[in-house]
Amino acid sequence: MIKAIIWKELLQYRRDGRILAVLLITLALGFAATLNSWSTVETQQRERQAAVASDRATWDNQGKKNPHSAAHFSRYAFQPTSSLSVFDPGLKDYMGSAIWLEAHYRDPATLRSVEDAVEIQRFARLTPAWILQVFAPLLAILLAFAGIAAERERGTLRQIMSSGVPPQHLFVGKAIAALCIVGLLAPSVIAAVALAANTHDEVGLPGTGGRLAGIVLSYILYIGAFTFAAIGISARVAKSKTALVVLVGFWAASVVFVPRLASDVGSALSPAPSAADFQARMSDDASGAFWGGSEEAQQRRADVEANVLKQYGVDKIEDLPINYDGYLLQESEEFANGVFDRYYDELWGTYEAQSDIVRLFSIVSPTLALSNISSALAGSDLFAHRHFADSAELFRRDFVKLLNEEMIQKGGQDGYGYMADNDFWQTNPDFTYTPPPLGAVMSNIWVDILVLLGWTFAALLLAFRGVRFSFKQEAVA
Amino acid sequence: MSLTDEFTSGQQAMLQTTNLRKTFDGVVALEGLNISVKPGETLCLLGANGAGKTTTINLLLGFLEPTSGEAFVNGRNVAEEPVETKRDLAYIPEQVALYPSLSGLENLKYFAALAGQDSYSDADLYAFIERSGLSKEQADRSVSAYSKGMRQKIGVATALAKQAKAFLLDEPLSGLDPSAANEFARLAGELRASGAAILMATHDIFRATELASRIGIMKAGQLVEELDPQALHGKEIEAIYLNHMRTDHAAPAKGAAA
Repeated sequence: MIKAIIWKELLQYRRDGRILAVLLITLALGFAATLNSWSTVETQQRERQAAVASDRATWDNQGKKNPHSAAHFSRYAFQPTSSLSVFDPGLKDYMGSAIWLEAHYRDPATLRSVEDAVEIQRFARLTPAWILQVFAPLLAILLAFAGIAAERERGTLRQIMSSGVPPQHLFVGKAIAALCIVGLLAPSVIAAVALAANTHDEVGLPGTGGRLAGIVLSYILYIGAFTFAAIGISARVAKSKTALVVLVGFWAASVVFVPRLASDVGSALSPAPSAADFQARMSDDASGAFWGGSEEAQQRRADVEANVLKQYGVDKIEDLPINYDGYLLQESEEFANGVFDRYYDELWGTYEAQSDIVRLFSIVSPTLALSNISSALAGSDLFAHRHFADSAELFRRDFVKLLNEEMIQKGGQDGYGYMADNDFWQTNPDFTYTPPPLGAVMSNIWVDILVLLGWTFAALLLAFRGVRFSFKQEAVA
Repeated sequence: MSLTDEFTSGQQAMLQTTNLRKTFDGVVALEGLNISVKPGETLCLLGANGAGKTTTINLLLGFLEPTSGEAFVNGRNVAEEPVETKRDLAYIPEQVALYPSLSGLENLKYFAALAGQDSYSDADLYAFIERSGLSKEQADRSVSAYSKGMRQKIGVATALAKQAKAFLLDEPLSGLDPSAANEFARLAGELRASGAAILMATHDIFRATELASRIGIMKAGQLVEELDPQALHGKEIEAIYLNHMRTDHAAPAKGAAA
């Protein structure tokens, strides 16, 4: 019985030129998005690898230089790209991909792709994830909006009922048929996965298989939610045209308006400081409060001096067995690190508060829940960026300490006059990045998963009850 | 002994109602209906709009739940076994609804499969269509270009493919041109001759007289009289029916159309 319903639905779809046109356009967009995204990631990876090599070569061959001067000259931490970002680049284009690792400062990520983009790309970059998030539900709506309403309008619902078809069978048959057609978009997804697999995974995302399975499952739930909702609404309203208007309205709200509104409300309720103001305040508190001329700064430096003299049991700096300038520099770093932690914790807290507000809106927009899950599993969300930025910061602290130690131990009385050479630079480590395990990612998106599951379940319930309702209505018509 | 009792004695009724009652929001649509249709018999229900004819059919189809009383198809209680009883039933409404983008053959294939008959070859299906009076060429055409009569024939072909034992015909002749109505009457006669039990709701006294084994006159949800068309002249049946209609001033009950 269900097989017959699926067969008939697919036959009708095949003969409906509008559906074929929408399917082909979406498929073409999917392939274009895949190629575009793959090409972007390939370019980013090539550029990153070239930049990493160039950065290393420059560092290794900088010649004789004081370690602290080198700490200002310093190096970059380039964010590696995961192969899954071919499918969903998430916030990568907006968050920056390189962090300058210098002494005294914690710099924000720079090299944001979006800065190089033309205006239209700012609206939405063509990615496989975006195509699926936006067009797949629209296709599902076009396939299912007439599911029950048109049967009623045509009079065939009564014929179906007289054949002894239970409402749940009609729903299952129609849902499977619609999902089969949406499933024809799979080649573009498979192409994205194939190209992603062909792309060097610079990050080595832990649990890539699990992440991929999670992405596929979450998109199935998402498209299922729209398909079920379309059948449910179709069963509840009198006319298929009414169902189409209601569903397209819901789609526009979920995909376009609510995400924009959520973002604006998030920014309004939890405003992030301007980059210039943030850097100026942090620099003032971290550097000025230690190196400045204020009484407090002078006292801080005096305390450092007193402590080190006491530690080495000498009365004068000249008698110290270490280089005091290097020591003082490292002490200033330790002081600044605390300030950086305070400022960045506050900044990340602001971003997370914005994310939480946006997440709240996913109750009225399944697209928000899905995009959170998708970018998190692809390793391209805010959490992934923070993880990278924090890792880079830890490396910066160790690296600057390494340079200061060189000056402390070998600088003697020369201080800033001490010069290290290429032999030293070439022993310095590179920044290596290990992304968070899948468990950590999942613990960050469980609310989104629950919301998406809730949406799908609610839509399923709406459809089941709707079709039963339509049978009852038709019986007394 | 009523005609129904007479006909049902000695053979199991294919369609039967016992004290069937249906109300809609307190308004009585059907009151204590007792009818019985055996294999090879046609019972035509005549009555004005709102008399309860379609309500009777809807109750036998299991679309509605009776307020009290019972409906049986092939000995099975409709309320208790709604799916099983539908397997023995074929329903042909006034307007046979089909899918316009599908051909007649495809529509038949679909509705036959819904009824559990999904093993027919195309040759089998063409045979049902030809038996119902359509050609192969017509069967291969999209039904969007079908006349009402051609749709009725696909309805009959579906009933044949379904191998139904009982037919519920709800105003099947309404709106058909004389030629198509004749063709349908011929098919109904063939079905009856093949042993099918037919319950037909109609306004058409002439066709009822021609096709029925018995005629039941319904008024305000009640079967007010049963007639034997073999024992009465057509004019007499018409006079009896019109007499009932003249005294019928009851407003149509909600949900009890036709």
